[in-house]
Amino acid sequence: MKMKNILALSLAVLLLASCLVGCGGGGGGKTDVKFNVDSLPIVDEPITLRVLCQEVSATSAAGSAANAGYWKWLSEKTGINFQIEAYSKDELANKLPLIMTNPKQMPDLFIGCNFDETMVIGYGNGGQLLKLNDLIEEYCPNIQYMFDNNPTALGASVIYDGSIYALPAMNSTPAKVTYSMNERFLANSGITETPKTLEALRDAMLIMRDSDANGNGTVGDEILWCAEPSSFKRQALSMVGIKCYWPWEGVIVDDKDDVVYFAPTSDEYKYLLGILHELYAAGCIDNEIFSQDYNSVVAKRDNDQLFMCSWVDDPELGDAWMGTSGWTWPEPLTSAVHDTPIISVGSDYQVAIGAVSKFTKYPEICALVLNFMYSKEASIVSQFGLEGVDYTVKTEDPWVIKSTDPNIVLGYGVTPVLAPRWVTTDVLQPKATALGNLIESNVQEYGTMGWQNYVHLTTAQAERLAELATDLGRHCDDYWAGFIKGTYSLETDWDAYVAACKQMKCDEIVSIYQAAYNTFFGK
Amino acid sequence: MKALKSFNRWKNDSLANKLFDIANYSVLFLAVAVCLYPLYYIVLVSFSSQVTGVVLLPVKPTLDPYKMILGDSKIWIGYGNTIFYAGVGTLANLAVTLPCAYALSRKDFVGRGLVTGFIMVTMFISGGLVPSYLNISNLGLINTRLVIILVGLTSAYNIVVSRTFFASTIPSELLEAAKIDGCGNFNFFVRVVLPLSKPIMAVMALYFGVARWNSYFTEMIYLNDIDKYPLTLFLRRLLSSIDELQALIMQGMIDDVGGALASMQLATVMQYVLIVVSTVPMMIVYPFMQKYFAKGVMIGSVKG
Repeated sequence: MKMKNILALSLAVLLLASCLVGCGGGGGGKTDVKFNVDSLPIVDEPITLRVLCQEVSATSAAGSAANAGYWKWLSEKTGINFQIEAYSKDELANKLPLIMTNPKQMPDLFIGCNFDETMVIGYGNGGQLLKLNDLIEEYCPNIQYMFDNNPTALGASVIYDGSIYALPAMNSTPAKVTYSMNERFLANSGITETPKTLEALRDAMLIMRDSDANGNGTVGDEILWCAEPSSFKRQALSMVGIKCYWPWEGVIVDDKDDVVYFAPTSDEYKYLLGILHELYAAGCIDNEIFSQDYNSVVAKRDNDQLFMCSWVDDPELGDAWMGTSGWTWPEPLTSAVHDTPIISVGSDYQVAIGAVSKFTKYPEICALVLNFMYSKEASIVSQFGLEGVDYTVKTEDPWVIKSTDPNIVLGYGVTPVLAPRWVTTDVLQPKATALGNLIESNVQEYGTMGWQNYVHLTTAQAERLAELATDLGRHCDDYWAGFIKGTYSLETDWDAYVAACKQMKCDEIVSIYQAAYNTFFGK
Repeated sequence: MKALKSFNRWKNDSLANKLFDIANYSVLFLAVAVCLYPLYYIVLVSFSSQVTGVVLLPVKPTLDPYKMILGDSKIWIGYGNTIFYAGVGTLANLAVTLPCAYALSRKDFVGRGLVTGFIMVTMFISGGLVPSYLNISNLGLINTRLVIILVGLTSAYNIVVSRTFFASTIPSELLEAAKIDGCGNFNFFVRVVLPLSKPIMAVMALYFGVARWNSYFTEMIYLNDIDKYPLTLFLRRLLSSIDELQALIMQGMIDDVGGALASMQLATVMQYVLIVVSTVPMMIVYPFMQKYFAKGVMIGSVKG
């Protein structure tokens, strides 16, 4: 009996001890290794930093981020060995939550790990990500400069309590919603001027519908307005002044003079639906426009059937093809209800691209590495590669010729570009065709950010929005297609549609976004 | 001769029977076509230059994707890893499952009920992925080939099936006779039970082998080095890269859309090639093991 008691007591003590051994945390202490703040290399004696990042693309010749020239170059510059763990987006989505549960598995740096706002707040407050405010102030003048010149980037990086746990990447060319027109179709139909307004577009399409616009001897085989569902909606909305980049379906809000409104019940939206219905009924809009994918659009484009579509910005087609085929990139259309041309663009930054682990042994060195990644020099290498190896600069003009490697997708950097946009476009013009530059100049002049997806919502706001948005979004999408196809009538069904939106609390959604808008833009 | 006799017999049959046979065979042919066409389609696309327009014959036939895939050293590394994990893992599975099942089938095993209960509980309750990951991490097994062998080493269901087989196939009289001759438990298991258990060994080897060949989730979670990835993970990466590129194109975040589309087209064809390449070994082995699959359905049942 005594033996049994001693054994039981020993086992209990052992169990308790093993529990205590598992406890303990810490991390985020000061670096022991000597480092250089104002010069390169950052460290004189090599250290190894583990980096977790997302693979660029399995089919890209940029290939595995682990082998990319960028990290090798960065290593040579900083004197630091980078041990890269790169996973596809899919793998990262599964592995990241597991890695974040175990300090032993956590890397020193997170680059492009698809943290969203909820994750940043969760991991930041949960003690997995290092708070960067003090480090930025002391060691990161490049990052400080970026924030000073991009208040929206700072707004997107700071969470509700003022802490910065993750840094953004600036897009050198923000995503955009544009469309191109085939002037040859206009000429063949006797139309001398490229439409500049939605109404002129309608009139031109009605003429082209009854002409042999593509000049193949057959009337009526043309598809005048062709797109996949997302592009079609965003193109059309921009013509009446509704900024809609992402999301393009469901609940869409916009602002007029800083006052947020519910776009699907607005007068501009109704006006647009009227014109689109007229065009659809006349056979000017592709009847697959609500269901097809880009492959189908490209096939029709290559069949010379299209007057207006979005898939023509293909540098491989070349300037010569553009000239003979007749495609051009017009200024964005205006309309009777909106007289300022706009191109809806995505945000000029991606949130939460760079972050530091709370458990790193080298917090200051990590901050210095991030600061260098935000420098002009590192941003150019990140975006374009090494001069002479991946690209050469023509001396006659500023155009850059990219290496002709079919596996490298233009404009898609080896790692997310961490530099402000003005840094890269100041120095290099990466477009291979005059068309590409025309698109870029249009975007720079008319680009207007669709802010909906970028404002911060509190947890309560996000939950309430999720409750309300599903049914309301489905209702709006259903009626968008229905009004255009003629299933519903604008004369008889519009009021019922608006009443249903109000019943589904579209006004509450507007008030949620108004609060977020005011906070985001500092109103 | 036999076919001719059958045909003659059918010819002399009644009209109703003939019509029924025609209808029957038509429906069966349709069913076979519906089942086989997807496989045929995969092979077709793998030999085509594009995905669109492929119906009965390859479109712009080319062997370039096969050359790319088979010329990529990563694929051969993946093949080697898959064969290793499937082979060694299956052997390990058998080495653990069969002795455990045999022991549980013995009525003279003290605590048999308790142990069976413990094993059965794991069929219904699991700690989840996070505790498993933490456990594996604390054991220092992350990013090792051993973790792929150890995770999934046992399956409660297969233990139960095997136990039922042993209980119903190995008579207790055999054990008594062996004991009289001085045979111990281990010798009895190795020299008597295992030779009589070839059916269950084949079935279990097949179940474990196929599961390990197709496995990707465990490998994705616990492996970091690409050199240790099995073939299924490369296929998965290819599939997700297509989705990623598509999403980026749809969001207008790629300037060189033509290049991106070409990349996607290539990746889509390559995924079909990879499917063909990764399933060829199983398709070769399966006809020889088919009868064991059929047996396996009933092998663990209680005999009357």
